[in-house]
This record gives sequence, C-alpha cells and structure tokens, in this order.
Amino acid sequence: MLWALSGSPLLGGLVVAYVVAWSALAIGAARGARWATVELGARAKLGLAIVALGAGALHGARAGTELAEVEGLDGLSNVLTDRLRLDATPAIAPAIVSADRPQVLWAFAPGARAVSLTLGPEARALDGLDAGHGLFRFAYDPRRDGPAPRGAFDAELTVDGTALRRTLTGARPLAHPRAITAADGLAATVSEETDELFVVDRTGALVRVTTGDAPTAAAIVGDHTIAVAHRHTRALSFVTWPSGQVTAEVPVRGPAVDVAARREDARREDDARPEDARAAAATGSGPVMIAVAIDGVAPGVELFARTATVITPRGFTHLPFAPSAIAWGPSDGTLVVASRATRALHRLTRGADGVWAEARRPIALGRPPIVLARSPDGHRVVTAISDYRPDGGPGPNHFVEDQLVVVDVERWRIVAHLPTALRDDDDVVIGGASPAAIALRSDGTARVALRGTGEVSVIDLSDGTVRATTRIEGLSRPSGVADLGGGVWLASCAADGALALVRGATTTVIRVSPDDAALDAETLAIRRGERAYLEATRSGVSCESCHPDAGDDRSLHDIGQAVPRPTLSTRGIARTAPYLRGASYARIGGLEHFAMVILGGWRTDDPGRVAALEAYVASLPPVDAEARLVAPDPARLRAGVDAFVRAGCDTCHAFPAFTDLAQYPVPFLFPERDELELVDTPSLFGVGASAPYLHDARAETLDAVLDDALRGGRHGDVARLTPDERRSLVALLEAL
Amino acid sequence: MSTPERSVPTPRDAPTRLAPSTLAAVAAVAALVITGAEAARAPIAITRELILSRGTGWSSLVLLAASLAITPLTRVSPDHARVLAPHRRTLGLASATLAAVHLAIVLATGLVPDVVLLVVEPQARAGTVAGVILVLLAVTSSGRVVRALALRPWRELHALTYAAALFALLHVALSPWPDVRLVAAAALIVGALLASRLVVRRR
Repeated sequence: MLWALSGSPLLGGLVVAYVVAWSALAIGAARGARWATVELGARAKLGLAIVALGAGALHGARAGTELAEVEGLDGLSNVLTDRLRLDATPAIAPAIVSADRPQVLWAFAPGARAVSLTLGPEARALDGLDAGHGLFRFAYDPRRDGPAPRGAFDAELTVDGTALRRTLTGARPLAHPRAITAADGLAATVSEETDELFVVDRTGALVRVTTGDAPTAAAIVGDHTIAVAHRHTRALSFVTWPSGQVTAEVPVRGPAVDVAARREDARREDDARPEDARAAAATGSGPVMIAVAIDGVAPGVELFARTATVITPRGFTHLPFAPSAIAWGPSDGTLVVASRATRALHRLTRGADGVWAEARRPIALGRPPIVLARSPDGHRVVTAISDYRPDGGPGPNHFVEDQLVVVDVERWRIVAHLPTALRDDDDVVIGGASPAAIALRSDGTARVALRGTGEVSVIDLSDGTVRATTRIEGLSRPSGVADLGGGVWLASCAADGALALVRGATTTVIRVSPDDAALDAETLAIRRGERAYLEATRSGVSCESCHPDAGDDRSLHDIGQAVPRPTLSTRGIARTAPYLRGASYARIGGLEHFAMVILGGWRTDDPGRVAALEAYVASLPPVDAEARLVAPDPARLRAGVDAFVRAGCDTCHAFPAFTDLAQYPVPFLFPERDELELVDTPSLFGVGASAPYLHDARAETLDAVLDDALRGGRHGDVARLTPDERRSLVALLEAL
Repeated sequence: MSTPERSVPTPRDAPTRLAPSTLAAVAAVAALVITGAEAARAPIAITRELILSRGTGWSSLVLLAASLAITPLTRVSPDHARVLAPHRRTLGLASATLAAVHLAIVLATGLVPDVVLLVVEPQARAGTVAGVILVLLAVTSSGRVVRALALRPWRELHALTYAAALFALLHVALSPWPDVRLVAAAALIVGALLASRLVVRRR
C-alpha cells in the first residue's frame, strides 16, 4: 500500500515500502503501541491483505508500462529469445537468408568435425568449411544451390551425422526498379533483387529482360542497345531493344556498381529523338565511351569503347577507394567518381600519356553521395547528400539536412547547396525530403525524385526554387527519374515495384511486381515497411537519410544519447536484440519512439507502421560485399579465426553472430574514455565495409582498430599476435 | 538470514555433524577457487574480469537458493530439521559475502564505472536491491537480534530473502549475455521454493 501511495515506478520501491512498514510495526510493538500489537481476527487480516495487495496491484497495473521501461523489462523476452537462439549450439547466423543474392552463413558447433547445412527442400546441402574453434563457414548462392523458402523455415544443420533443426527467415524480394537512365527516347532501369532489366519507350511499352546476377546499373549506348552492369556476374552485358536479346558480353574485373556512357551522337535531354541517334550512328560519329565503376577488393574504373560492331577494352584504372557512382565530365578525358566510402567526389583526368589519375583533391562532402547526375554537356554534376560537412569528416552536424550539391566539373568546386527539405520562417520543415534521383535538364533545372515524400519536383539549380511538384498516384516513394524527351518522363519506385510514365497531366503506372492487393500479408508488411523506412518525418529526415540503402552513412549522429555515435547498418540485424549503439531498444519497432520524439513524428498516421518497419528490417540480409563472398583460403581462414580467439575477440564478438548481444560500459573497454554510457556489442558481419570503427569512430580502418587495441590493451589483446597472425585477423574481419 | 520456521533453533543450539559455518565457508571458498581457476585460463584481462564477475554473482545466487531450500528440506525430512536448519543462516551469510565480492569486482574492473550506475542502470539496480536486502538480513541474523526482535517480526523481515532472490534473478536475466537456460533453471528453482513456501503458509 505504501508503495502505491509513494507512486514509485521502481520495483525496489516495493522493498523499501515493505521495510518501512515493518520498521513502523516493529518500533510500535517495541514501544507497546496498541495499533502495533493489536491481534487481528482472520477476516480483518484477510481484508487488510486484500486492501494492501489490491492497492499494490493497482499501482503496478497503472505504472506497468513505465515500470517495465524503467526496470529494463520492456522487450526482455525478445532479448532473451534472441540470446537463447545463439546460445543453443550448434547455432547459425545470420538469421536471414535472401533468395536474391549469394551470402555467407556461419555455424558454431563446438567440437564438431563436419557440419552441413540445407536451406529448405529446394536447396542442396552445403558443406561447411571448418574455420577452427567450432566455427564453420557456408557459402550459399541461390542461383547455384537452389532458393531458400520464404518466411520462417527450418534449416537442417547436420553435425557429425546428426540432423538438427534451426529456424531461419527466408526473404524473396520483389522487383525493385531504382535509378533510370534515358536516351534516344528510351528509359532503362534494373532490379538487382530480381535480376531484371526494364526498358520503357515513350509510349509506355515495357520490355522486360532477365539479366545476369544482380544488375546494378544500365546505360544506353546507342543503336537501341543498353549496357548492363552487374554486382555478381562479372560481365557487362549489351541488350538490344526491343528484342531483349543479349548481343554481347564483355568481362569486367569485379563487382560493377555503376556504368556511364559518353556519347556524341545523341543528346539525352528533352529533344533527343530515336531518329537522331540512328542518323548519327549511321554517319559513324565515333565510338561510345563506357566507364564501369568497379567495387570490391580491387576497386577501380574500367573503360570500354563501343562502335556498332566491336567493343574494345580501354584499360583499368585502380582506385584507392570504393566507387559508388560514375559520370563523364565535359570531355572523354574527365570522369567524376562518387564514393560513399570516402564521402567525397573524385575527379579523374586522362593525362597526355593516356594514364588516368586524380590530379585534383577530392571534393569532401562529409556525407555519402546518394546519387550522381550529369548535366547534358557534362560541365556540371549534381549529387544528393543527407547533410554537408566541409571538412569531409564523419563528425556530427547540428541536424540532418537533405540537399543537392551542384559541382562545376571544370573548376572542380561546389557552386550551390540546395536543401530539399523545405523549411518555413520558423525553421519547420514544410515539404520535401531526401532526394533519391536527379535528372538534369538543359534549361538549368533538375527533375528530382524526393523519395521521402512521394513527390517529383522540378528544381531550379541556380537558386533552389521549386518550379513544379508532381505527386504521382500509385508511386509512393520515387527512387528514379529520367526524361525521355518530347515532354515525357519516367519515374520509378523500388518500394512499390512500379514505374510511372508521365506525359503532361496523364500518368500511366507500369507495374513490374504485383500490386498491394495481390500480395500475401507477410510480403505486404515488408513492402509497407520499406515505404515507412523511406518516409520523411516532420523534421524532413527518414530512416533512409542516415541508412542509405538500409546500410550506414559512415557518419556520426547524436540521436538522443548526448554523445554522437557512428551509424550502424540495419542490414542483417534480424534477431540480434537489443538494437542501437546503446542497446536502447529491445525491438526494432521501438525505434518509432525515436522517430516520434527526436524527429518530430511522421507526417501521416499509420497504426500499422511499426509492425511493417519491423517486418522490413527483419527481411534485410547483410551487405553482400565481394570480400565476404570470395572463397577464402582454408588455412588463412583458420589462421584468422585462431588469431581472433587468441586475441580474445570472441569474448564479446561471440560465435556465430560475432556478437554476444551484450552491453559494456565504455571505460571497461576503453579506460581512457570517461563516459558512463553502455555500448552494445555490434555484430562484425559486414564490418569490412562499415568504417569508421569503434563507438566513437576513432578508427578509419580495421588496422587502426587493432592499433587502438594495442594502446588500450582491453579491446582485444592484439599485442600477443605475430604480424602474420594480425594480417590473418584483418583478412578474417574483411571476410565477415 | 532466511525465513525461520516456528521451531527455529538459533545457530548455537543446533547439534550438527559439520559446523554450518564450516560448510558455508567451504562452499564459498570452493566457488571462489573454481571461478578463479576458470578466470586464470582466460586469454585476456576483460575475459578474466567477466568470468570473475559472473562466477561470484552466480555463486552468490546458488548459495542463496541453497539457503532458501533448507526450509522445504526440513519439511521433507523432519528428522533432520535440527541438523539442517542452522545452515540457512550460514549459507545466506556466505551468499551475502560472495555478493559483496561480486560488487567489489564489478567496481574494481570498471564493469560498473561509477557507483551512480548501481542505482540508475536497471540491471545494476536490481543487483543493488538484492545486495542491500542480503546485507540487511545479514546484520539482523544474529541470535541477539533474533531475540531482541522477537520471533514473529524477525520472521516477517526475513521473508525478504525471497525478494532478494527475485531481484537477483532479475539481475542475471538483465545481465549482458546471460546463459538463458541457466537463468530459466534458476527461475524455476526459486519459483518452486517460493511456491512451496506459500503452500506451507496457507496450510
């Protein structure tokens, strides 16, 4: 009763109330007070008990939510369930298997000699590569090994002949058309998830072509031919419209993430016409130069020259950073390369000796460039970033501000910053949000797809004025846009699996995946979750602002914990509760609290948003970086795992998820830091592509992490490793 | 240290073959030795510290559960009641001692870098509440205090032993990387002990 009267939201208050009541009675009894010594009858005792317990129960019920939150009980079952899943060896991680990409899974079976894994009835058994210390690596390629089922399914883990069931979640993404390229009256876009190329002409006729594994970008190279780059198939494919035939394939050196064509024979803009292109090609106006941005373990730019009859390699230029997009400058001797890894734009120029080099310093943005668009003459490029930090560092800004950055390529400097989240006089966002795609026009304007709002705006690049805004019915989160000429433009929406052809006031929606009504509840929840993930809040910020492509922006943000922390990827985090650096949320859906409190809430009400967000994030597999997929040398892998264990990394980055899902005080790991916060142990899956590292982003490379450990001596005992062991450890981390 | 029955003998008048204090001390020392040996095999400092922290904490909870188990055991085997009963207090005192060692370790190693966290952070706070109860019960468990308080009020105060066990359970359930199966087993045992006690009281 006292506890109820005190209003304490703490369970400990119950104990204090009990002790206070007991003390009062004991003291009263010692002094012979009548109220303390009176003998109550059975009914009186029962009545008193009912009143006391009832009051306590009522208070507990009233304060239940607050009490659960304050005492850390909110979502505890979620946390314990996830821990139990990893604790129940043999265990397997990550918990999500996607049917659209190769991926690596790890099983932890201490003492086992041979482990195999079967991902559902349609998939063949995979033999685990023994990495030592009970850890086994499985390389799964759905194209080769058969698709995993959709939704929750029982995978069969066979350990030394004994078959065990382990529940995993299978994802089968729908078509996701993103960036659009246009020329000659055609527009092309690809779906990396479903291995498809979509080509649309001005009439809205759709040609759908199956491509190699994971097409990432397309470029129209003349002769009604589209070059398609792939992340996993090591070839640049040339597809002819409208037949859809692959007329040529040329090998490329690594995972291609973008392709750009430089043509003199046709303009890409409003007035480009197919007959112009055909006429120009017939006159033989020179080869089309094609640049392919190569990511992966050996990043660079690969060049080709294409004539009507032959495709000629023009060399490979190694880059010391991973490119994410590429565009030709004003001449065929200039290339602009955007890199999310360096959070910068780089300009490559071809010297007199024919060698490409980065002669000028990169333009530091401080935030990863989301997209790169080229003006028709190549003199300008425009990129979209979620914020701007001129020193290029990952550090935090006051607030996130989505914007366009206009760059003069020849003078190589930024000429304009144009915020796309429009604010009123009181600095409240009144419209717009994160730009996902930009199509530059010859009149100095840009058509910009604003993914966070469902709008496509025409923005004057000289002053940022919004000339016109179109909200396309049936396209909720536009992710690509391009002009086909003749007043026709096309927008794509990855989340909806749809394209929209706009001609004046007429819009034709072209679906490349089933509409909502045709989806089952689970798939629909994932799609709605993706829309919510991209949706702008009242502050103009969406999840996507800091987690581009559901990954991380390699930057620091203060999201309410008072100390800025590097962004974590949201890929592959299913069933690794709790979440965030400080383990603030036991459920993914708990992040709604962050959106509502810190970001001002969403602009529209949707009671199903939280569940949908959970479903979407839970469906995201880890990043499929090349370093993770390359078959490792078994001896080297074992040496890496051995070094990992010798340095004690597995104490917290425990097998098989490379996290113990636990939290530790900062000074416990980094005694020099006087911070009382707890930091959650992040999984190391995809760590090779998630710099900067450590809770305060102090390390830009994995080597720097190990150097830091040498200084502090507590974040792994790296000092006991030989140089070769250390190299093996870094190789392992890059392969996770 | 634990809730006494009506025929609770004080430690001095309990005829036992093995002195309760000796048994409890042996149990506590054994727990410390095993934990220390395990920690010594750990490759790095933080692993050692985590093992020491977790080992002493779990040992404290095990001894607390053992203390709570004495009363049901005396009911199962009334003939041994006089032998078993004195172990309640000594096992409880051993549990409190190990809890104190546990606290010293987490403070010394930086697992709790500031005493403020003992009150602010939910997992630490649950352990703090359990520890404070154990200390309160320890200082009120001597024969002199029992006689001074008279039997009935003393028994009602020491009913808090169960609260200590529940808070200790919460502490381990919220702790980083608990062995969930071990937590479940501990919850079952403490739950069964509490249930048996409630059933007996109702009779």
